[in-house]
Amino acid sequence: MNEIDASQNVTVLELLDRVLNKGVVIAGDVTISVADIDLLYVGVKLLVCSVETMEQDKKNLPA
Amino acid sequence: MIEGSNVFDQKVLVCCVYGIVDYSAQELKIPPLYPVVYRDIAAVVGTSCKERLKFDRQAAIEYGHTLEVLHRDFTLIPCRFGTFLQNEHTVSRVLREHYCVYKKKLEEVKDRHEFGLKIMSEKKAQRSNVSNERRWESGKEYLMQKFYDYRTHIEAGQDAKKATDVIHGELQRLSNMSLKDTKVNGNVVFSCNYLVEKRRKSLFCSKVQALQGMYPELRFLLTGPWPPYNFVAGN
Repeated sequence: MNEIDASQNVTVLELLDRVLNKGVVIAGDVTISVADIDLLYVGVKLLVCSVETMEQDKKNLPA
Repeated sequence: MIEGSNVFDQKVLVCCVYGIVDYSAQELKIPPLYPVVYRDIAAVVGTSCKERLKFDRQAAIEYGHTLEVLHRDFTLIPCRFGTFLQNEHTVSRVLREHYCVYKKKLEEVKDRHEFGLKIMSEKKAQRSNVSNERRWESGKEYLMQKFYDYRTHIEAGQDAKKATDVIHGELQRLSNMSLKDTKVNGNVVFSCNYLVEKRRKSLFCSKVQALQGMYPELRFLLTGPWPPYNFVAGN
């Protein structure tokens, strides 16, 4: 991997870290299910998981 | 995150909230996004049906890029990827109920960028690899080398700490706020986000470059300018 590729990858990782883990969280009232896992919970708080964590959780579920 | 095709043929629509902006100066022109306005602030939203929302890496990256475009034109409180509200009425209610909080936050981040700085210690990384690459003639020699590695690793950490304290002090002078990441590992010895006035952007970047020149044994990784993701915390 050359330096430019590495630098672009780092920037993408920094971007993903920010959009998935930072920023303001707004109380919401919608449930979104992705691959049969609730991403957001009704009523009280809007909880967001990162896509990777969510997919990992799905893999770890018992069959 | 929002697909461009006709979403109105689906039953359950939701509002994806990208961020909250100061809406006193100019209008939003980033279709298909639109503003839900309350007084002089607005939530930037897109509508989609639940079944067609995307949650992959590409969608998150596109979301981030949209926020960067918004940040260029507006004072922005970025929302976390995956922020959904039921409808525009709910968005309006949220704006109305939290107007004072958002207004205060918008004042805090007005005309400011976020920069992220990570500092890596090359010395630390190099030394820890030495003992893994050699063949050892005796256990004693191996243990001595391990001890030496450990000692140099600690010393490198102490040297890096001294250096990063100085660096952080210099950069704090050019920023309005800073948030240090206390959980650093590997060869990363320092990680911090700085909120910097837009007019000081070049000065801040030049300072980082100058500091890199002063500490060649450390590797600086500066990213930004970002919307102020790290400085809008709180529900």
